[in-house]
Amino acid sequence: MSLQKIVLEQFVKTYHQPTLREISSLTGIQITRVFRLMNGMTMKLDEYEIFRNLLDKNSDEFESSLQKLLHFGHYLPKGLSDDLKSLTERKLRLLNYNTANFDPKVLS
Amino acid sequence: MKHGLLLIERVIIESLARGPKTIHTIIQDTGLGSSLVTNVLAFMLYKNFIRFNGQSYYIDKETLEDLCNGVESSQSLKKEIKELFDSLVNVFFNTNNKLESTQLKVKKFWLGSGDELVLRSHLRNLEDFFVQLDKRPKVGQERHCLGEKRVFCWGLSDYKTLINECVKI
Repeated sequence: MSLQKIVLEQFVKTYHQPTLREISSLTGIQITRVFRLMNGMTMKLDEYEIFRNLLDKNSDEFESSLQKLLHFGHYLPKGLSDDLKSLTERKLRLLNYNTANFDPKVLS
Repeated sequence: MKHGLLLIERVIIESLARGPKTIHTIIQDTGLGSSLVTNVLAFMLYKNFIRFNGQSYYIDKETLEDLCNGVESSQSLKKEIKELFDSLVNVFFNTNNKLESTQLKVKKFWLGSGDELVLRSHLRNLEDFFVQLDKRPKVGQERHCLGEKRVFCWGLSDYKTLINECVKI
């Protein structure tokens, strides 16, 4: 799979199936150009970087939240840690159901 | 299951509880995507929640009773209601795809004792209406898709109680 296809697929998943207008507003790329890119036209390097940077930014924000959580570590109250554990397990189960290479043994 | 059933797992069990079904019928009944249904069924087979006779998926009577006990436990119901509420709020606030069939209203108000009686009587009427709906003859009802069911939520509490619950960690 080409790098362009991978980055676009990741982008669509990360931003929950955005519309062409939303992608255009997030990336600053004209909507007609977005339409062409989504339909397989080859991306310019600067366009690839815009998509990549938005994905990295989202990943950084998530890591930052994760770091804050790890900072509290074992001091999380039981109620909160139980809620987070349950929510994480359930969301991961849903994520696993949505992946093409689903493996039932991975789920708890 | 340790962390309770997901809504998608629950709806597939509800569908199979109405009788054995092929994968195609489950997809039609629930309105879920085919790859999702395939994966959930694979997981449920792996966990021995359901069986497959080469053509249809089904649930044993004993397994169904065990599942129903688990599914209707208060913790499981709590998770289901939370998941339904989350979905309702997300669907309602999804500005790209406003659905006419989805409504969500939350009101905060002061209530005198007389008005409280009126409100409780309205709630009681609503409950009676739903009981009557359940009692209506089920002619052709079995053919209706599970995914076509409507979901209605209602509740009443004190603002203070809800705020204090929010503060708890």
